[in-house]
Amino acid sequence: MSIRIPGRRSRHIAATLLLGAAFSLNAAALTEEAPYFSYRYDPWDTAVETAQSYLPDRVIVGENLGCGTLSLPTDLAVTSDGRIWILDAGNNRVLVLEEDMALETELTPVDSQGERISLQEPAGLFVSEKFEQILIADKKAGVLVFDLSLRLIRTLGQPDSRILPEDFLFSPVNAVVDSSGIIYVISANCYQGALLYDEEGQFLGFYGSERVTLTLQTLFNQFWKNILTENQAARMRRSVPAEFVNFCLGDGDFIYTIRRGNDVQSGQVKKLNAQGTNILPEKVFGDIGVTLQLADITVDSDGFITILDSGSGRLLQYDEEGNLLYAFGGKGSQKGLAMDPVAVQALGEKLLLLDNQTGQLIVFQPTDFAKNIRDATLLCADGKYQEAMEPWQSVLRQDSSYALANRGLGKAYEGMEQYETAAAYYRKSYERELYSEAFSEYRNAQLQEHFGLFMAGLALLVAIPIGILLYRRRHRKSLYDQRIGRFQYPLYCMFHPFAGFADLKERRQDSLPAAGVILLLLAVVSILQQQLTGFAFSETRPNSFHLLYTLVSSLGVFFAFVVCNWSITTIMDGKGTLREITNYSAYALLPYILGTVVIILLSNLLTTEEAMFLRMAQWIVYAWTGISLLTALKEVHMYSLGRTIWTAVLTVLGMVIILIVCAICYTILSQLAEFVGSVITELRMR
Amino acid sequence: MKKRRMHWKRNAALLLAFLLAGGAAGLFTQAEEPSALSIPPIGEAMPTVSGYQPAAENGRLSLAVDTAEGRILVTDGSVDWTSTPAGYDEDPLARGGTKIAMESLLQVEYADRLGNVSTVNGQAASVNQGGLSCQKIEDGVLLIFRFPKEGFTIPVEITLEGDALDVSVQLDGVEETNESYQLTSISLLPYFGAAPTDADGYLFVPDGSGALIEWKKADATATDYRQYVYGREPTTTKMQIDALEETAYLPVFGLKNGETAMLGVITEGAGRAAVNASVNGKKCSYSNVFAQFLYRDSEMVTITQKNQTVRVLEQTPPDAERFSVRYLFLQGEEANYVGMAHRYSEWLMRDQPEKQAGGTMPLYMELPGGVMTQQSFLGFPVDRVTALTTYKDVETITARLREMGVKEMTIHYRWWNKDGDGAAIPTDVQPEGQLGGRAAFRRTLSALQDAGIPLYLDFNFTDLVKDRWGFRRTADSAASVRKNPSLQFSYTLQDHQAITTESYTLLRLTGIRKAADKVIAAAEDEAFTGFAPVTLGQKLYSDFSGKSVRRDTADREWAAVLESLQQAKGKLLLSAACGYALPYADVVTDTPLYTSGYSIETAGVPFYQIALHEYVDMSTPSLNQMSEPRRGLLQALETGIGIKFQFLYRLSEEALNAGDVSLLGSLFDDWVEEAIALYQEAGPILLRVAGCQIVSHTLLTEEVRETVFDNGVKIYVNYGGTDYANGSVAVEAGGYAVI
Repeated sequence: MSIRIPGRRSRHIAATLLLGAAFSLNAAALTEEAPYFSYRYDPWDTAVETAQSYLPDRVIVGENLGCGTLSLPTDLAVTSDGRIWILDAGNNRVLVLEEDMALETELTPVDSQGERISLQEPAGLFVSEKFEQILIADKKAGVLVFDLSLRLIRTLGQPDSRILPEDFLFSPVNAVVDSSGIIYVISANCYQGALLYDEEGQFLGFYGSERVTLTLQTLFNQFWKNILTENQAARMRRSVPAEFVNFCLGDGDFIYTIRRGNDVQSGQVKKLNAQGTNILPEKVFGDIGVTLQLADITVDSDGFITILDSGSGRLLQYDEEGNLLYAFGGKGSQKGLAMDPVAVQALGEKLLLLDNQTGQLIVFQPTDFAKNIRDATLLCADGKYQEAMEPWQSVLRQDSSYALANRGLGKAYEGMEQYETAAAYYRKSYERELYSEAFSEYRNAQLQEHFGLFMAGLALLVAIPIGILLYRRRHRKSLYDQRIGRFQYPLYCMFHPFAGFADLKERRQDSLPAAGVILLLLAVVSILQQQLTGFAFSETRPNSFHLLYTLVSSLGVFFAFVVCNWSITTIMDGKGTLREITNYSAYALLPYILGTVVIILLSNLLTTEEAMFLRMAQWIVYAWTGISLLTALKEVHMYSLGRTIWTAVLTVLGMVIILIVCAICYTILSQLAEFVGSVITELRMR
Repeated sequence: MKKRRMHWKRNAALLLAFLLAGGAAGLFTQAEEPSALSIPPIGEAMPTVSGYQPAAENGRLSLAVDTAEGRILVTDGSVDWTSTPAGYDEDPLARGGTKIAMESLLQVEYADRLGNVSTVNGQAASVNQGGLSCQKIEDGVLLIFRFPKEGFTIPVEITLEGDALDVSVQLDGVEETNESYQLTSISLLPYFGAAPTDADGYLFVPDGSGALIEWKKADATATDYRQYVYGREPTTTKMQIDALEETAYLPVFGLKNGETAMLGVITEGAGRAAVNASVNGKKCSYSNVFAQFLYRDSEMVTITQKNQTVRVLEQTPPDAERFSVRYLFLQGEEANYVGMAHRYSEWLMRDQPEKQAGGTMPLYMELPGGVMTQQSFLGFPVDRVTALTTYKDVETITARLREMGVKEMTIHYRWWNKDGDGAAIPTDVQPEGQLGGRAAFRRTLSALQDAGIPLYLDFNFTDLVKDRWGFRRTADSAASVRKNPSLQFSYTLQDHQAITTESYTLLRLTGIRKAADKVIAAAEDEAFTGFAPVTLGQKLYSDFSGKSVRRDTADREWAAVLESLQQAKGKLLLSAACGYALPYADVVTDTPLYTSGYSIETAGVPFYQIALHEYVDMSTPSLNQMSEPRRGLLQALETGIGIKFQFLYRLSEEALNAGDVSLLGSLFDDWVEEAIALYQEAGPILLRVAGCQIVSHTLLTEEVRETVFDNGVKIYVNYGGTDYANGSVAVEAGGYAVI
């Protein structure tokens, strides 16, 4: 057992800490059934390994199908009868596979006369069973509408719309038909949303376009654009809505869209209803901390959304509420990896992934772990929390910290009115709101049970201070008669700041040891605050305590303040010495220290709904401390109030300057070190 | 910023080293002085004659050499094996360069002064330049290849020994006389036995459990197979991981062509070898597999200021006497991967005549003891061990399993020692207080001994996680090619980048020896079954600092340490161990069951288990760490090995927050029933085949496999989703059958 020493953070702890977030090589290859890990994100956005979710079941190549190698296939479609349609762009054909992955037919596009036609740059494929149509979005030739034998019915060309800029080039990427026959088309460079056509191919308008959110940045841009020349303005970043990259059609004619990941911070995936309104929460989709290149989206009949990041080759599956269930897959030439993944499609609970470079179709099968997650998620969505308990428990058997499972069990126990258990599960899943609710139920039950005890305690809590006050009032002496001990001053100054600090200055009774004890208390309290603040209010991550950081943010700030104040007041006729400033400032912090203790206690008793009380308490503590500190400074320097405030402001400015200087020094030093280092490296290597 | 800081530290260390070294010494490439003496002739010179002329013969094989072209022919009864495939010059696919490569006995790679690597083959750069000379030696020939332009001399000794052909590069005879070029690798017999398109057969490669490349099924466009034996040199710090791959655990490769087969065993210098394989249809109409040896290892260094990558070469040539490959030839019934596995294990266990797997089938268990966590003590954070399985818990687990009918168990207990998973290099048997302390530890040891349950204690002799006197990261780490400490990182899951804030290093050989000797002395009085120095069986590494051991000879050194550990207690347990460690292992857990799944491979086969089945007790990786434990059970049945579970007895919030995911799905109470059910289902069947030899293994379909043991037991397993029936054999989907 060892107390942490600043600067010598044990290597080991962090090593275990990171294991969850990462993997080490030697353990990696031994038991994995696939050349990738499945992972999820923890509440601090760190990727955490979980049990394998989807595993590659089969890899289908053209040779196995008996139709020759696929050449640069670009898209997939799946119809409700389980047939798989592959747009084999390089070979100018569409392959139709049966559900068991055997080749059924090979379709070649022909025009209405039956003459073979060549697709130019086909990118998107959609098959409508209801209207017996195949739609191919060709980036050059427009949206081609075929019948099921791939005979051309009509072509949807450049729409006639005044909203579109003059230089707009119609370059469709994908197209779908909803149950009423409306055709939705995504075109590259179209910021107005998807284009709508009716059954006859008449352009109807736009869908799902979003307004540019009015931010300070856009206003600022607008302002500059009015001033700048046209040329200069053109070089500025255009404030346009993020472009759709791809979309798919779900049950109930919902359109699921993805937006270019680097344009938006969140809400990369949207689920749009007929009015074009997003009904998914504005969450962050895709991997965190990497450049996203979202390429395709698919939704299965159970409403699970899967997106494909073609940059990393990762597939990420979400539930209907946009919670990430797991991420898996990757790029490479091993089984289950793709070199250049372009399209993903759900086939029941399986997933199909198309590799543009190798022409492989990879079939992923969910593991029992993923199946349990999916089952339980569906049950929870129907409110059947009790029924979901069994699959959630199986999930926890394989990954004890899977947050959605802990949340699901929390809900189940809450439904059974076992609030204490529910709160424990919510705590494991870091659901502060839900935890707080369950905790308040539990707390109220406890209160009712031990009502007498509680009231007695409350009465005592009120009675004791009142008693003390009454006693002291009766035996009150005048201030000058009072003999306050040297070490009683801190407490006295806390409750009587004006008289206290003035008296202190006059009698010169301040003590450095007392200040030292207070500063020690300050350090202790700031450590305790990190460690013991109630779960509902604590933002700190367990196991991530940094003593150095905590000390710098408490004692470091204090001493910076003292030094700055001293340097400023010495040139501004302040009467306080460095020692006095230290002592007085330390004394003034006592309300903060004692108040924080109360706040820590309260945070363990209150719920997030009652956070207001906690915040109030916090403000009281801050105000009290502020007044205390100002008074202390005023008295120690024998200033007027105005001058005190003025020097305090200057002190804060001084602290900011110190901070900046430190930062600059650090940057320069580290750059110098890097430069010297690389010179040495080069010398050594050459 | 953090990354930068790392650089800063490293560079500061470099600066110091620079100053100490007085500047110049060792900083610049020191070219080898061209040796004035050429190799003294060992045998009598052979005249240069076109066509094969006999060179050696024993009862089994005969060897003939074409001294003009530098080709060999080995005759095994009626079967000819040639270094250059017959009919290669009429191959419509092969271009001129490939044809010359097919004529060559050697292929070498070398680096120029800028670090650019070029490849030349023996035919074009040596034989055609008049660089070949042949000498007759006992049982074979010595071919000396001189590469006049590049300045290399490479003597290759080819001899017959019993049923084997030994081909070795005599390293003390290798010369580099051109200062501009440094030899980086030598490939031996690249097209030996290469099979034409129309032949029936496959290439065998040692990827994971073992993989086949059936050239008729393989994707001709796929990348060639290339894997380093025992994995890539670990001392080179990797800043990111490109692919998650299985290791090549065994130094073997093979080729089956119709009714004949050839097995290559890399007998010397395996730690510097890579196995290469390519299929017909790409460069030529032949499929070939061969070994390549790194003469000089290298490391890529990025100079950030210039954004330039430089190749840094190892300065000194290898220490081994030779790089050797032993070729064994099989015919008829034997000519398949099962036959290859038997021949390999015969060679592997040649010095272990007594070695025999036990006839029992225990339930294998891996028990993690404790992990270092940050805990709150009176509100203050402290680092200490959080127990997962205390000494007492070990007894509880075994007692409960006993009650529920499990009679045989084998325990691999790790993180049992002081500081749990954060321990320094062990020099003693030092129990951890949080797990119960020494008294409880001794009690548990004797309780298990009385109960007859083998207990193997894990000792990590390689990973410098924490400093201790005499085993410090700064002083005792193995160094990489560029003489930096061998930093080992963890990697982020989403983009596989190194997490540079935390690391450990690898302990150099002298440290390993010292620690092992101390531990052996200290463990004499402790009543446990054997050591489990698991990392020694998995990580083979060099130390490029000064005159230290490198991977060409490190396998012998590691083996010597393992042997002394085994002899100290009489038993040794390893996990997923590589070939060099296997002769000393009595139990191997976590035997590889998968391959890397490279697209060139067409099937995975349990070569590893077939080779070792009669010699070593083996188990699967933990079934409860697999996404489908039942599939793991089928794999155990297919290979006739025991099943293993990982159990921890308690999982506190601290341990959960420590976040080692490999622990999260292993709580004893969660798994005990399923574990017992699976063990009771498979145990009796597995017991019937324990210690037997696997005489045949057949892929009936892609999903259905048949294994025959030498006592006549046949086990069929069906991994597929559809039932299988063929004659008297019926195996339901996801099931198995025993006959």
